[in-house]
Amino acid sequence: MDLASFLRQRRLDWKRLEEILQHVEGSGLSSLDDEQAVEFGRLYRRAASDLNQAQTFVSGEATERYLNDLVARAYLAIYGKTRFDLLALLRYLFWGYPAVFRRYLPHFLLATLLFFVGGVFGYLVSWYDKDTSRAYLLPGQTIRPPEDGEDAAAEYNTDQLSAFSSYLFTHNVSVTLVAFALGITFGLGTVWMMFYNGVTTGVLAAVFVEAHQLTAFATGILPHGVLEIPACLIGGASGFVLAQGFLRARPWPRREEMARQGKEAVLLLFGCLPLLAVAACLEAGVARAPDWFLNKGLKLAVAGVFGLLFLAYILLLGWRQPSSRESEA
Amino acid sequence: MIRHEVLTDEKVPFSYRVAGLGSRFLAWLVDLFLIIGLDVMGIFVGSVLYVGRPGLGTAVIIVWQFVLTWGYFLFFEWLWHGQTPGKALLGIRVIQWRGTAMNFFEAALRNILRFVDSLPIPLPLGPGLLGFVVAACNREHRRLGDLAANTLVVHVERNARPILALADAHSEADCQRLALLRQRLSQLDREQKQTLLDLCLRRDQLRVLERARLFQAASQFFQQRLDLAPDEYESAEKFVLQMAAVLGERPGEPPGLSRRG
Repeated sequence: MDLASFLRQRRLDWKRLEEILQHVEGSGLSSLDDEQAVEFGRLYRRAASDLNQAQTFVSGEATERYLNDLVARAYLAIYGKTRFDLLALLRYLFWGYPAVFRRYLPHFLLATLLFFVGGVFGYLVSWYDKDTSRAYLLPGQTIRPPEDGEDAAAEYNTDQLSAFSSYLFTHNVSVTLVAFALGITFGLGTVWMMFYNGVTTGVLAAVFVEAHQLTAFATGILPHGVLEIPACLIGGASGFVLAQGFLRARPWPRREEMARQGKEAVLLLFGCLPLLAVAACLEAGVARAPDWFLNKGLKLAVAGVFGLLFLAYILLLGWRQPSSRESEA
Repeated sequence: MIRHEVLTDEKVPFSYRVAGLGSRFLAWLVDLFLIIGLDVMGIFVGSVLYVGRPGLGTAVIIVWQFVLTWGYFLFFEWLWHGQTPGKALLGIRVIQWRGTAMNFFEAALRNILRFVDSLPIPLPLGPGLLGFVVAACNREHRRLGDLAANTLVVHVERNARPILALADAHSEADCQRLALLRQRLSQLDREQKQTLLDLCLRRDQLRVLERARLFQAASQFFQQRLDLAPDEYESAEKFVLQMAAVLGERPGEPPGLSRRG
């Protein structure tokens, strides 16, 4: 076929495809009725075949370029879009996530190990050289052992609590996201983040132990820590999953393996958002509540309950879920 | 100009034009101004609330800034399938490596890794030195976030129109000449027309010397046969191509005026 008659025959179809595309790009695929959807598919396939023909038989660079861009637009409009499905998300949260977590248990354990090594290191450093460790290793805003006759925590009213808990939540999520993002540095950044968080906790523990206030430490840390520390470790674990895609791609191309592992890492990472939300509420509402409101035993009980709930969630749910349904979410 | 080749599910190859660092930087700049604007709005709302309930006002500001820094790019690229306001303005978008639209996971991965790309400034707001260097160092200008999520940024071409294949841009002044050509060309017989079109359509397959020789010959033949002369400075090939374009046009539709825009 020569170019002239090729153009003459096909141009109306291309125009129609352009019209539909304009519509779809504005208001989405779902706005097409059945007839239009069928027509859209037909016109797209036809344009793709026209492009093929233009590339092969007809020499006219402008036509080829035009068809190329038309097919590219239609391809983007048709493929790769996923709809937001709240039900699938909830199903994933309850049944899919525990399975994902268990799949990456080694990564989680690696993060945990680093955290503990950091903790021991921090504790020992604090033991041998108090001033340095306190000056350099403790973050600015933290709890401290109560002086004699002082209540362990300042009293907040509910209004201040909202500000405090939102600060805690955003801060902790940021730390977790950063721990994950640093996975791209072949995991080295994540290793450092896990270690450093461990060091901070270790130094803090040393400070309290020295002041003979171990219970204050436990009640101040544990109620939210039982969720917050695992969440942070999950951030680290997902960073390691990401790094694994970089480091151990074989036998697949590194480009594809990275993308696959990246998706898994995001799946793992986003599960810790609910954990951190609950942890922030616990930290603001329970851990720093004044003692007359919640006594120490009660605080520890809260910690125990939430720790058990977390363990049950991670260990008990999602065993029977077929793996194909997880990827839907 | 770098093009990214994609094979559709129908096994038809096509390509995207990869966005350069310049247009990406401009898009990012637009987004940055938007973020700053939104941030100021949030601070304003928070301050108003602060008067009545200081804790709530502070909470609003904290959460809003958090959402903006981590969420602006993520949510826009997720919900607008690879575009933020800045990218839409510049006509570029993020796509998956295999050419399809981006989904939530890619958007999340790509934009959480903004934090690393923006080093040495530790804010997840936009490529700093590291992202820039990495993007400048690979063919499709992908920063670390792109590499991890297997995405790239391309131009969305939406102004392309079907062009009358063989003809280059006609100006209005050409109309008279076209009318003359059209009239003279009707004198050719079918075989001559076919030869003319064949020569033009297959010109890319010819060697340079042969191509020049053939077009020269054809040009001379048509000049004598149709009593026409090429414009000043017009090459033989261009002269012949113009005639082929006139032959190929749809009846009743002058090529110079048919294109929109």
